[in-house]
Amino acid sequence: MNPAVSIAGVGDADACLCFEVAGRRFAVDVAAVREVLAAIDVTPVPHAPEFALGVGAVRGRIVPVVDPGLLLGLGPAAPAGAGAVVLVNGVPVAGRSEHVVVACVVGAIAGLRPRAAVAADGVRWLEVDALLAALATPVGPGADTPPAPTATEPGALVRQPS
Amino acid sequence: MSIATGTHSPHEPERRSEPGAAGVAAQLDRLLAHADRWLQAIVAGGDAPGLAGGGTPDATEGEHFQRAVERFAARADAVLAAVDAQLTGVPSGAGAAVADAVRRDLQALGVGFAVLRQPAAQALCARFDAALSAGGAAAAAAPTGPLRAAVAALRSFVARGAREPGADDGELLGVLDHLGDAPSVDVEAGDDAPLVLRPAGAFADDLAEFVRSARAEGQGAVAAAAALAQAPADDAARQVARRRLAALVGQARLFDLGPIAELADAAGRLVDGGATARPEFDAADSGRLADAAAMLVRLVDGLAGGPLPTVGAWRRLMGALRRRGTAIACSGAIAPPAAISVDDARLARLGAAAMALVSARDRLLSAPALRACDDEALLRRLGEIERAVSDAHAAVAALGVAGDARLDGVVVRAGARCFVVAAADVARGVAVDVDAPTAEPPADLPVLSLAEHFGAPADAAATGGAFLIVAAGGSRAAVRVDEVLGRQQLTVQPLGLPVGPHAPRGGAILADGRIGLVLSASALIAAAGGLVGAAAGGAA
Repeated sequence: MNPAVSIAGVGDADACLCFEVAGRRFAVDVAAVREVLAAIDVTPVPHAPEFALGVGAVRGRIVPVVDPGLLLGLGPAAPAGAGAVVLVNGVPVAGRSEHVVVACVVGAIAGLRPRAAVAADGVRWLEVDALLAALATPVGPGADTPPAPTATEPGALVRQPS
Repeated sequence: MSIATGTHSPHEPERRSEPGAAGVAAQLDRLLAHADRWLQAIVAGGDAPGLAGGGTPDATEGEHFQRAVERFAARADAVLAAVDAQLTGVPSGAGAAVADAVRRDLQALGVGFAVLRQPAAQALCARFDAALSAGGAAAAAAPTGPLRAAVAALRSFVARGAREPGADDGELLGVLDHLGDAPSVDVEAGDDAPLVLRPAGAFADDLAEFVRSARAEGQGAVAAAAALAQAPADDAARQVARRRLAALVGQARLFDLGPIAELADAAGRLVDGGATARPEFDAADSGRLADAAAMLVRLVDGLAGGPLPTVGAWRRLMGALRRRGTAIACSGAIAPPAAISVDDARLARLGAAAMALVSARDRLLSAPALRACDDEALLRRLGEIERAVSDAHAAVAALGVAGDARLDGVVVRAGARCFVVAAADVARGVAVDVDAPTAEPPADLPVLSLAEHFGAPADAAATGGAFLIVAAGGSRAAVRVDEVLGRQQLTVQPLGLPVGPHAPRGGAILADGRIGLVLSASALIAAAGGLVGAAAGGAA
């Protein structure tokens, strides 16, 4: 499914993980990436926003599973049964040393690339903090509505890498 | 979606083939029941064996109990004096590190007060803890005056209680009324500030033991890092390093020593990455691992009074480890290894049992009155529990499992989904036969179909069902489900998703590996009432 890639030549400080979301190319700071899975079993959660596909289990931990494509209004990130799952680190939970982990369903993984090369190619940057803010936004009573618009504005979630 | 086959930690196959895993699980279950029995007997009062000869504290007031009270009072006063000094030093706010230390100390005191049957003092400790947990940035500048007043009231109460058990708690109740607005402060430490590790507090002896063992683990990790540097492809060296770091993570989490736990975890991930993509794990990585091990030794030494690294140094090292570890892991992940079936259910069960045991151990060992107890039988049993808990925790820490709140839950199925309701909220179940609908729920109860309520896909094979009668806050409702799957001890975890007030509030990994969504009885009752009202309105 995913071709093997080399990270040779990618420095520790400037590496980013590139992938597709709804046919568009995005990148995320590799320091925010915990793991990449081929797929994950998803248990749908009633009354969650459309972009929140549900929850999954990763080694005994329940993690939220989101589709950044739906959150950005681009449509599903990957066709059903295809793509990969990128686990990103979130903010620490109060009183615990562990970090929140969020599973993002994405399209094909394009590999690890230096930040400068990504910027030159015009790949858009996925802001993990903004993504997590969307997950922390309360929704209305019993409604399957997305979070507050400020958190889901594409402008808040993506930017051109510098 | 399909079954996960992505990258996993390379030592997982070892977990599955680890001999005696089932035996460990059985032992944990046995120990858990053992610890629970003792906790219930000791903390709830009742017939606490070994405490003042088996009677209740109020009834005996013997020499032994009085001595225990005096020791507890001396200990409590010392802790409260330290708390007051910490609060005095930061008059405009407690600060996150101080707040954490104060909370832990007061939690321990709260257990002691519970054992001594001083509900007002116990409630004040709990309220204090809640006040420090709530609030946040908005309360950052709030004064610590109310907190200090509460501490003063507790000290006064303890002093009187040592002379006369069962002292008047009117003053404490007065403080309780005014503590609701107590501040909570969250302060970001500067990069040049020394790392703050949780003070020993009531766990001085435990912490000393941790320092002894952690120092050995840290030094072992240094040696393992050196071995890995010489031979990056040496699986044995990698396993030794991983095992030592995993043990250190488990121990540090037990004591809430976040910087140590995070550093050891990051170093462990670097070691993991080295195994999944070995050609990428180079000499520089071995150097990073050696740096991490050296800082771990410094951190552990800091607990024993040595100089601590600064926040900036820790952050720089953490950043390097995380970036490199993740980069290596991702490069391995993109070419997935062979599929690994992780037994999530077993891991979750082990984690839940171990964390419950750890909690029990903490509560037992942090009760000063118990620690001062001279009863040999009780001390012997406490020692047994402590050793068993320590063994269990080490076994589970090696598996890298964490645990959350435990729940005695009733697992049901609605459509293709599984849900969990707290057993304490289920009044009783009524079987339903769809072909002979005589087994109706009580006519006076509102009825809610779980499948319809949550829009679960219809179960074409369903031929029967059941009603759960749930109760909360004096109200009841009948909840129709397709099947009652049984009662399970579960570990409840947050969903991490934005959901409405009537949505599931948490999840639990069931025995078969599926995720059960945890439902609130009060939300179900509210939803049932709403449906009845809507139906009535429609009919009208």
